[in-house]
Amino acid sequence: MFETLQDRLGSILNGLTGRGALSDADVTAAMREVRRALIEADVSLDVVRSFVDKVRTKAVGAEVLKSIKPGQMVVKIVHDELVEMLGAEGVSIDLNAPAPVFIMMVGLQGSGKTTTSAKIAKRLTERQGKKVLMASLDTRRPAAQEQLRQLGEQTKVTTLPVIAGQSPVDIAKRAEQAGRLGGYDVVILDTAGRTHIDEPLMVEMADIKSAARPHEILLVADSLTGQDAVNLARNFDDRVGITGLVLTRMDGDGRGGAALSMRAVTGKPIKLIGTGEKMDALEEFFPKRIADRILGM
Amino acid sequence: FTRTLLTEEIVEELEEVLIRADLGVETAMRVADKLAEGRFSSRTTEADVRRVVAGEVEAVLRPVAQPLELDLAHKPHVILVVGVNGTGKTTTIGKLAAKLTAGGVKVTLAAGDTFRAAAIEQLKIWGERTGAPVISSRLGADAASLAYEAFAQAKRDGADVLIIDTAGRLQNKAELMGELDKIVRVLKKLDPDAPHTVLQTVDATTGQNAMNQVEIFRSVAGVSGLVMTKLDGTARGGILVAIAAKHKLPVYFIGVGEQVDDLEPFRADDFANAIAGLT
Ligand SMILES: Nc1nc2c(ncn2[C@@H]2O[C@H](COP(=O)(O)OP(=O)(O)OP(=O)(O)O)[C@@H](O)[C@H]2O)c(=O)[nH]1
Ligand SMILES: Nc1nc2c(ncn2[C@@H]2O[C@H](COP(=O)(O)OP(=O)(O)OP(=O)(O)O)[C@@H](O)[C@H]2O)c(=O)[nH]1
Ligand SMILES: [K+]
Ligand SMILES: [Mg+2]
Ligand SMILES: [Mg+2]
Repeated sequence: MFETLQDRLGSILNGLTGRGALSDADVTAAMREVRRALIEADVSLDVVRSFVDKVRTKAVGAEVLKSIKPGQMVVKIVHDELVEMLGAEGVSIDLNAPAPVFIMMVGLQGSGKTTTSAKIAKRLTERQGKKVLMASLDTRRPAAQEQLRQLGEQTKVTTLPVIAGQSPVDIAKRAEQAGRLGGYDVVILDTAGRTHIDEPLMVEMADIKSAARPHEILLVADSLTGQDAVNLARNFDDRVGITGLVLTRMDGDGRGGAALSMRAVTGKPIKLIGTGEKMDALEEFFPKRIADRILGM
Repeated sequence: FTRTLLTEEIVEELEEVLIRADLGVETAMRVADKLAEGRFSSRTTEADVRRVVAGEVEAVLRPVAQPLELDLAHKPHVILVVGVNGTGKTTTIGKLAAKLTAGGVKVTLAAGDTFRAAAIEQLKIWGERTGAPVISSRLGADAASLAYEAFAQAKRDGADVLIIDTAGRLQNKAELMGELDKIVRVLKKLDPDAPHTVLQTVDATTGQNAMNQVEIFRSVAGVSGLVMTKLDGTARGGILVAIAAKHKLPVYFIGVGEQVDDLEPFRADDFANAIAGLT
C-alpha cells in the first residue's frame, strides 16, 4: 500500500551515483521523503523533526560509494539511526530487589494492561520459576476485577481475592501484605485505564505508587497509537516515573511509529511487546524489527 | 516578499496542526494546499487561518454527521457492533442501550464476545445499569450460534432493538474476520436484511491504521456507520477526516468518557474546530 522509502529515495537520488558526496540540496530533497515516511508510520511530529536533523547531519557530505546507490545509502543511515533511537534490545523486567517485587501496570483505557499483566505473570512463573500474585486495582471498569481473576485461573497464577468496596490504594496495601505474608516473589498490580488529563485519576495513580512502592512501573500502550503517543507517554512518565514500556497489538498491521515517539520522549526502554490476545503472545523487543516496520521494509 | 514568506510559513504551520491531529500527511497537505490558493492577504491572522481550516475540515465531515436512525418495523432492529480490540465496543453498547431505553425503546443485548475473559460479565453489568436484558452463553462458545439464538429470542420477546456485542479483532487476522463474516451470514438466515445496522467503533487515539480498520471491517462485515470513542483525551481523531473523505460512512456518535451518559451526537463543526485548535 505504501511506496517504500527506498523507492522514493531511489527516484530522487539514484541518478547521482558516482558523483562523490551528497550535496545539501540532494539531502534536503531526501529528508522531505524521510519526514513523510515517518509521519505516515505515526511517528510524532516533534520526534520526526529531531530525528530528521540527526539524519541530515549524517547524510550531508556522505560519500556516495560506487557500489551502493545513494537512495539505499540514505535508507541505511535512516535505519541505523532508528535502531539507535529505539534503544537496546533485551532489557528485561528487573526483579533485582527484595521480595516481593512490585510491578505496576499503567496506561490509557483499553491499551492492554490486564491482558499484559497476566501474560507477564505467566512468563515469570513458567520461565523463571517465580511465585507470582496478581491484584486488580480497577474498581471502575465493569467486571475488570473478574477479568483478571479469570485470566489468573487460565494461567494458573494466584489473584488477590476481591473485596467489594475497597479503594485502589487499599487494595494495593492488601496486596503488599498478602505478597509479604504469602512468600511471593513478585506482585503485579493491574490498574484502571485512565486518560492522562484526568486529574483525579492521575492523582490516584500517584497515590497507588506511594502505597506500593513498585520496583517497575510499566506503561502499556497500543502500538497503533497516533500522534498522541508523545503526550500520553510524557504525562504518565511525569506523574509516576515509568521504568519501561510495553507495546501491545504488534500483531496488527500498523507501522508502529508510536514506539519511537514514546521511547524518544521518555528515554525509557521498550521491555516487551504484545503480539496477540492469547496468554503466550508476549515477546522480547528487537529494535531492528521495529525499524524495518516503520520503514515498511 | 516578506508577506509571501509569511503565508508559506502559515501554510506549513497549518499542515503541522493537521498532522498533529492525525489527519495524515496526504490529507494534511491537501487541505493546506487548498488553503494556500490565494486566500491570504497581508491582513491574515493566525485565527483567520484556523477558521479557514476548520471550515475546510467541516465541509468534509458535514455529510457524514448523521443521526442513527432505526427502522422499528423490523422487530427487532438488529445492531451488530464490531471493531478492533479495546476500541470501546462494549462500553458504547451500554451507553447506546441507555439512550434508546430512555427513549422508550425496548432493547435486548447479546453477549457475542465469547472469547475475552469476563466480556460477558462486563456486558451484563451494562445490562443491569440500563435495564436491558442480556442474552448470553459461556466463554468459548460459538459466537455465531449465540447471535442466532439471541435474534430468535429477542423476536419472541418482542424486543424493538437487539444490540449484539462481538469480540475485538485486528482486521489483518483473516481467521477472526472470517468468524465475523459467519455471524453476519447466520443473522441473514433469520432476516435477509439483518444486521440492519453494523456499527464500528474507532478509537480516537489510533493513528493511520484506523483507515485500514474501516476499510476491512466494512468489506467483511458491511459496516454502515461509525462511532469515534475516547475523544475526552488529548487525541483529536483526525484520521476520521480521511475516512470520511474516502468511505462517506455516517458517524453517529462520539464517546467522551466511560460513564453511561458519555455518548454524544457527532457534530462536524465542533470536531473541525477541535482539529483546527479553535475552542
Ligand atoms: N491482538 C491483540 N490484542 C490484545 C493485545 N493485548 C491486549 N489485547 C486485547 O485488547 C483488549 C483490551 O485489553 P485489556 O487487557 O482489557 O486492556 P486494559 O488496558 O486492561 O483495558 P482497561 O482496563 O479497560 O483500561 C482485549 O480485547 C485484549 O484481548 C495484543 O498484544 N494483541
Ligand atoms: N476515556 C474513555 N474511555 C472509554 C471510552 N469508551 C470506552 N472507554 C474505555 O475503554 C476501555 C475499553 O472499552 P471496551 O468497551 O471494553 O472496549 P471493547 O472494544 O469492547 O474491548 P474488547 O471487547 O476487549 O475488544 C474501557 O476501560 C472503557 O471504559 C471513551 O469514550 N472515553
Ligand atoms: K487503544
Ligand atoms: Mg484492564
Ligand atoms: Mg468488548
